[in-house]
Amino acid sequence: MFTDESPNKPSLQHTVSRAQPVIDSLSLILGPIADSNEHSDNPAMSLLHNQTISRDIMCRLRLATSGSGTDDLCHWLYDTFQSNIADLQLVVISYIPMLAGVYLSRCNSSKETFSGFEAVFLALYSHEMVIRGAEACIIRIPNNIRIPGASESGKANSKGKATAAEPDSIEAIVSPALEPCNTVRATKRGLIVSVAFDLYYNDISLMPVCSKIEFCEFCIIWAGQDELAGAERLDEEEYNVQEEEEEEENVEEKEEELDKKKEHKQKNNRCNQVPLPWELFQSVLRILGHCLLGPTNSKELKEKALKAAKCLHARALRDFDSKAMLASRSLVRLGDMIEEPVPELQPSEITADLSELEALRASIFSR
Amino acid sequence: MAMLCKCSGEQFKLEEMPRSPESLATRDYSANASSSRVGDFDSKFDDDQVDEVESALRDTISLNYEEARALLGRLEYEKGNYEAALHVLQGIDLSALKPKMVKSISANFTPTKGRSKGEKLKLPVNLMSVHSVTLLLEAILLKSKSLEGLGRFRDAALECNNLIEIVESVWPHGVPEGVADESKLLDLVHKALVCLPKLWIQIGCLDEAVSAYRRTLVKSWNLTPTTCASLQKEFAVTLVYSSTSTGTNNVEEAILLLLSLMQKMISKEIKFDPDIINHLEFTLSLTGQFQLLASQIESLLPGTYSREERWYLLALCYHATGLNEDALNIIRRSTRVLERKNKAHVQSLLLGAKLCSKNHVCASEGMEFTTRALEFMRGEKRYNHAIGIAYHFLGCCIGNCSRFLSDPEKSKFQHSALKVLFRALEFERHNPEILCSLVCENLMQRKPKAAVQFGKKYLDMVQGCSADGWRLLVLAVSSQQLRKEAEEMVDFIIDETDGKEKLEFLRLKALLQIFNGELSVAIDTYSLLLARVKALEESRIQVVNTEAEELKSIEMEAWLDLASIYIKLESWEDANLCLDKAKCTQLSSPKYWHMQGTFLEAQLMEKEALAAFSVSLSIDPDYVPSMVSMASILRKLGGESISIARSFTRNALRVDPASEDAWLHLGFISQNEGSAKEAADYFQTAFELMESAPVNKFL
Repeated sequence: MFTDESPNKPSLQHTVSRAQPVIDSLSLILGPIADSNEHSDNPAMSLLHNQTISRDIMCRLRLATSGSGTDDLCHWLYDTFQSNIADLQLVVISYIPMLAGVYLSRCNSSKETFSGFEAVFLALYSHEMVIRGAEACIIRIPNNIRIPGASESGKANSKGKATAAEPDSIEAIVSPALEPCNTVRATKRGLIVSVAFDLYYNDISLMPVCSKIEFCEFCIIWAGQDELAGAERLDEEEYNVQEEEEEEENVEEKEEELDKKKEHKQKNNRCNQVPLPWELFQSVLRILGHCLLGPTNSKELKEKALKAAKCLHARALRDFDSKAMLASRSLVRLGDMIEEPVPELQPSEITADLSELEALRASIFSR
Repeated sequence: MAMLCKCSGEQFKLEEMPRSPESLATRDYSANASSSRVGDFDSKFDDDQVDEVESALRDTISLNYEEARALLGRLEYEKGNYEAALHVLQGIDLSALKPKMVKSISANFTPTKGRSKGEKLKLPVNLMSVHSVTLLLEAILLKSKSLEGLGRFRDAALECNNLIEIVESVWPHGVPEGVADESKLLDLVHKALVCLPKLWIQIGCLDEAVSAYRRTLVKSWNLTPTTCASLQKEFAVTLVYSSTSTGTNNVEEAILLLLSLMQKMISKEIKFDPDIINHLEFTLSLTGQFQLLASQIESLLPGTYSREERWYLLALCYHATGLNEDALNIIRRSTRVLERKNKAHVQSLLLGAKLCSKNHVCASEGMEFTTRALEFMRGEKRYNHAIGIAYHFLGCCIGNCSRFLSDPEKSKFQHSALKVLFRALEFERHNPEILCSLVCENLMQRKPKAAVQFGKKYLDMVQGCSADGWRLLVLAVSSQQLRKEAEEMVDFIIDETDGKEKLEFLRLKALLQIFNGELSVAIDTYSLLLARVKALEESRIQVVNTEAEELKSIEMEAWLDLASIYIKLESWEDANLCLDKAKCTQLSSPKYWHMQGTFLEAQLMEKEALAAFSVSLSIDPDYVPSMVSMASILRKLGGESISIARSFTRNALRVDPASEDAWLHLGFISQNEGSAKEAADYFQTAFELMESAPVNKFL
C-alpha cells in the first residue's frame, strides 16, 4: 500500500539528456540494460528502482575482487556521483549500505587495499563536507524544560520558542564540522563511513526498500550476529517483572535453541564483527530507527530492523559502552512494543431510523 | 423541478424522493427555524416572493436529500461497504454546499455572548441547521474514511483537508472559547485533524504531514489533553524517524515536543506512556545529550521504573557524560539498598565494576562488585555472555589493586590479574577491550614483550582504528628499549592521524627523543608541534569549547616539556621564556608550578622552589611529581625535614606505586638514616622500574 512519491524535478528534460550517457556507460560494465529503463521518462529514477540492475550491481560488489583501484563498477559509482545529477546521485547513495557492508567486513579479514571503495567514500565525504560547510550542525535545547504554552493544547507556538536561543540553553552537536580528507586512514575510517551513512539517511525516504533491508542485514553482521538471546534476556529482566513466570518457561526453550545455534554460529560470525566507534554507531542507529519506526509497509524491513537493533544492543552490552547501550536499548524497546491498533471511527451518535433509511437506500440504488 | 435536484448533481425526480413527514432530517429542520415558514407557503403567493419561496423549498428538499445520502453513506460505511458508501457520498455536491455550511457553522456555533435567546430566532431563512451541517461534515469524514479503506489515500487526505478547511474558514485562529467541547462538530473536526497527517504519511508526503501536524498543534482546537498529547507524540515520531527535507531543525522540534510530553506525564496531565521516554532516550542519545536525559529520568515519578532500574539508567547516563564519580555513587547506593534485601542487579554491578576498573583508588570495591555479580550469575545460562565481561573488569581491578601492595602479595595479585584477564578472553574471544586491558596490565607489570604481542593483536582486531591502541603499542615497544622501532612506529601513526591526535603523537615522539637523550632533535619536534597547534587554532572558525581547551592543554604541555629540556641544558633564559608561555595558557595547573619549582631548584633557589611545589600541591594534593620534588629538597636540607621528606615519599607511593623517582628518594632517605639494607631494596625497585619505564605515564 505504501507508495513512494518522488518529487517532480523541474528540469526533467535537461536531466534526462545528461543522465543518459552515464546510464549508457553502466551498460558497458553490466552488459545491455533492459528496455524498460531506456524508454522511461526519467531513466535515473527508474534505474534507482530497477531490481534487476540493482541485483546485478550488488552481486558484483560482493565479488571477492571488487573494491580494488581497477574496479570498473567503483569507477562508475565514483563518476556518477561526481556528475552532480541529483537523481543519479541517489542511485549511488542507494548502494551505500552494500559498499559499506562489503568494505567494513573485508577490512577486517584482509590486508589488501580497497582504493576503489575508498574513492567512492571519499567522494561522498567531500560532498557532505561542502554541504555542512565549516560549521558543525548545532541545535539548541532550552535548559529550562517547561515550554510556555506547549502544555495547553499547543495554544502558543512552541516552535517559535525553540529557535530563540535562551541564555540557559544547551547546545547539542547533531553533526560535527568536517575536515578535508584525501585518504582513508584507519583511525578515520569510522568517521568517513558514518558521513556516508548520514548522506544515506538524508535521502532515506527515497531509497528503495531492498536497499534498506540490505542495510539491516549488514548491521547484524557488523554487530557480530549471535549471542542475541542472552543479551536480550539480561536487559529484559529489568522491566518485565510481572511476566516473570511466563518468562522462565521461555528462557529454557530459548536457551536450548541458543546453545545449538551457538555451537555452529559462533565460530563463523563473531569474528566478522567490525569496530563500531560511537560516531558510526550513531549514524547506523539513526537509519535503523527510520527502518523500524518510520513510515513503511514492508513487514520484512521492520522485522529485519528489529533484529538488527537487537544485535546492536547485544553488541553494546558486550562492549559495555554506556552511550551505545542507552541508544540501542530504547530502540529495541520501541520495536518490541506491539503496534497499537488504529481505532476505527466510532459509529455516529445521531441515531437513525433504520426502516426509513432502508427505503431511501432502495430508492437510490434502484437507479 | 429539475432545478430542485440540480445541486445534488444527479438526475433525480422529486416524485421519487420518499418524503416522510417524520423523516429525521425534516423533523430536525422544522424544529429549528423553518417550521413556521413551511406553513406560510400557501398564504404568501406573490410573484415577488416566488423566487424566495422556491429557494427556501429547494433548500429544504435538497438538504433532505443530501442528508439522506449522508445517513445512507454512514450505514454503508458501518457495514464495511466502502465502495457503496463512497458511491452514495459522492452524490453530495459538497463544493456547492460549502458556503452554506460555513454560514451555518459561523451562525450556530459562534458563542452567544451578548446576544439574547430571542435574537437567536432571527436567523436567516435558509440557514442550515446544526444537525444538517454536522451530518454533512460527517459525510466528508466518512468519504475520506471510505477512500482510505479503498486504499485511495491521497483522495482521502484531500477530503480530510476539505473538512478542516471549512471549519478553518469560519475560525481562522482555531475554535473560539465558548463552543461546547462535547459538540458533535468539534468531535468530527478532531477526528479529521487526527486522520490527516496519518494519511499524508501513508503516501510518503512527509512535508504535508509535518505541516498538518503543525497546523493542528499551533492553533487551539479544544483538543482533549490525551488527543493533543498523542498528536504531539506522533508528530515527534515523524520528525525523529522520517527524515523530512528540513533536516536538523526537526530534531530540535522533536526534542522540545518530547520534553513537553514528559512534563505533562510528570504533572499527571496525561497517562504514563513508556514510549515517550524511549523516544526521548533515543533522540537525546543520538544527539549526545545524556545529562539532559539523566535530568529527565530523575524527574520521573516513582513507580515509573523500579528503583534499581532507574538508578542503573541514571548511572549509565552519568557515565556517558563522563561524570564517573556521580555514576559510581549511584551504583553504590543502589547496591547497598538491594543488598539489604539480598537481591542484586547484575548490570549495575557490572557498571560499578567498570567504573572502578578505571580508578585506582576503588580497585578493591570493583573487585567486590564483580565477585557479587559473578556469584549471582553462577549457574544461570542467561548470564553466559556477561561472565567474560565480569572477568574482564575483575582482572583490571585486581591489577590496579596490586600496585598498592608489596611483595609477596603484589606478585600474587599481579599473577592473578593476568590469569583472570586470560579467563575473560576465553569467554569473550572477540572483545578487543580485553586485549587492550592485557596490554595495559603487562605494561604496568613491566612485561613489554607480552604487551607488544597483545598490542599487535588488539590493533588487528580493531582494524587499526584505535589511536589509543597505537599509543599503547608505542609505549610497549619503547619500554622494550627498542628506540628505533618505537620511533618508526610513531612516525607511521603521525602520518595516519590528524587534528588533535596527530599533536598527541608528535608529543609522544618528542618525549621518546628526550628519553633517548636527543634533546636538540626533540626541540625541533616541539617547534613543529607548536606550529601545528597555531595552525589548528586558526583554521577552525568555530571551535567547540572543549576542543579549544584540549588544544590549550596540549600547548601547555609542549611548553613545559620544552622548559624541562632547557633546564637540562641549563639555558635559563630559554627555560624562563617557555615557562612564561605555559603560564599564559594555564596558570592554575599543578604541572606548571611543578616545572617552575624544578626551574628554581635547578638554579639552586631551594626556598623559592619549595614555595612553587607547595602551590602545585595546593592545587592538586595528589600530584606525585611535586611530592617527590618536595621530598628531594627536604631530604637535602636534612635534620627534622627528613621525616617530612619520608612522609611525602610515602604519600607519593600511595598514589602512584610505580613512581621510580619516589622509590629512588626513599632509598636516599633510608641511606641517610643509615638503614643500608632497606635502601638497597628501594634502589633495586627503582632500578627495575626505570629499566622498563614507558616514556610517558599513560594512565
